[in-house]
Amino acid sequence: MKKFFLIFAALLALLAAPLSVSAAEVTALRTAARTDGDPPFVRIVLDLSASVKAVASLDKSGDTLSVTLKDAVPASSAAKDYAVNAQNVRSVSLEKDGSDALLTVNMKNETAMSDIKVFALKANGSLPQRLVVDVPSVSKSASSKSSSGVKGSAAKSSSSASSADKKILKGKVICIDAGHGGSDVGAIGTLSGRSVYEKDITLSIAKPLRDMLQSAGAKVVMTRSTDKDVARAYAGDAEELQARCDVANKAKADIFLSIHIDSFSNASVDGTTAYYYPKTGRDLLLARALHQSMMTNMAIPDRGVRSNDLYVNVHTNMPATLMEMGFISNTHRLSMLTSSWGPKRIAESMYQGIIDYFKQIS
Amino acid sequence: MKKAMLLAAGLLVLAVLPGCGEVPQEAPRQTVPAATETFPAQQEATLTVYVSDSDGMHVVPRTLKVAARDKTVKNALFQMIQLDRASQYRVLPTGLSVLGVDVKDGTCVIDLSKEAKNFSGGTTMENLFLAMFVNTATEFPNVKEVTFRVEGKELTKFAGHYDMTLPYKRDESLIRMEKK
Repeated sequence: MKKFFLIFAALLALLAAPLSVSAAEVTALRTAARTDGDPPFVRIVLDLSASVKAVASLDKSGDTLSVTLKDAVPASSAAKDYAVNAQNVRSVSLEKDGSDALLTVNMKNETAMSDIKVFALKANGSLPQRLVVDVPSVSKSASSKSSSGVKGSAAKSSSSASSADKKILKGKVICIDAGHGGSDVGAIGTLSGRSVYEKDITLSIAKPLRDMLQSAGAKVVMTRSTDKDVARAYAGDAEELQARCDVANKAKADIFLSIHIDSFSNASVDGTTAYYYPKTGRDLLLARALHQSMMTNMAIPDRGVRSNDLYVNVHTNMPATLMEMGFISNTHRLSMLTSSWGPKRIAESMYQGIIDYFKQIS
Repeated sequence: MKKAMLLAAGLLVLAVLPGCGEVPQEAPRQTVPAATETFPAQQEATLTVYVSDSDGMHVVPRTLKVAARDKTVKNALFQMIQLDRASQYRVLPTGLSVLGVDVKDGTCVIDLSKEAKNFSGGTTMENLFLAMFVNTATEFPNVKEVTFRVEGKELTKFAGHYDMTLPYKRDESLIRMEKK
């Protein structure tokens, strides 16, 4: 163990549960490639028969992650090497290590502990307690291209972040609201047996849009740029939504765009809707510009431009639109929304719609 | 170059997931008319209730024949919930029932069972929820607006798009009449 520099250990106390005399058992291990994170990641899930303490550490080269589950034994069917189909993950293995169970993840590239997540999930319905390990599935060099934004994500439309766009966006303050977040997951979809949360998709659209607008010279204010509540966890809807309006109102934003993903019980339904509330004289204009750009640039059914009392549209002081960017309940749409390219394409079309709006009012 | 640095934070995320649906419970069928409502003298009456259409863009009316004494807001909502439950395009959470209806000065307070807290969905679902309840209740001339409670308490946390503690008025733009 000498050659491994165990630098920092993450201690995990898993869920209060009575101490059992017998060791916890790791009954199964599953892996899944996920594209709904930035960077995309591989999720490793260990099913547990009881709570365990876990310690995660990275060796000094940054390419071997060890997670020790204290006083736990892998079930004989679970103790083995697992094949993982991901660019950055070489192998995953689970083995007995003295009185502990040891999960080892070999990665092809140096990975920072800050990009690795280890967390517990409570038992839920038929699912047992679980330990979840997320590691980036693409190498650093590949992921930095997409995550550091500015140039990489601006792609087509803002390669024409032409001087014309820059002129239009100069001095403009744009508030982007990634719908839901933190304790409010928003609508829930299912893709290949796993849950996908609206809050994660909305953020994956908001971030590249922010980068494009910023690189074209606009000032962008985000209501959130991480997975969090804006007011506080488990706040009421009005309190949470007002906190988002406050961000835009305080910044005296020129426009407010709230990004959402829709859902319905009929899985064949899909499409985009632009919602507005007529209050400034330009709310409909903004909604139409964004909707039109979506219709022009994306292959997605049209559900129209509609007026109602959605909280953020009513309580912002500037023209505001809440865009529903397709249905999380539609498998085809969900695979697009969780792809590496889908959220960026939507961001590009929102970027274009914002340019079109400012052109019309200038 | 000292590469041995470390970072690493263990995070303990307790994911709190919504509990599974409860066993549906039937709302008791109301047989005694609420004191605040009046009825025509005839034996039979018509109820109009609203449920979602197949694409979730609108609600559509469904008319039912009931005994005159059953033409109440509470019974209309009960029938609406039954139709939603039987529909392919459900909007309401499993097991949802109406615990009570109180109409005062044109405002109808609908007290929902705890299953209302299980509601989740996009704007389309929240729009439909409002359109179903509000349009069904405002079919009664004494109801001008609708407000919600869950087990007697304010509905502060719902699907995250509207302030559900406010009263809502009838919105006919959400109603689609079917071709005859």
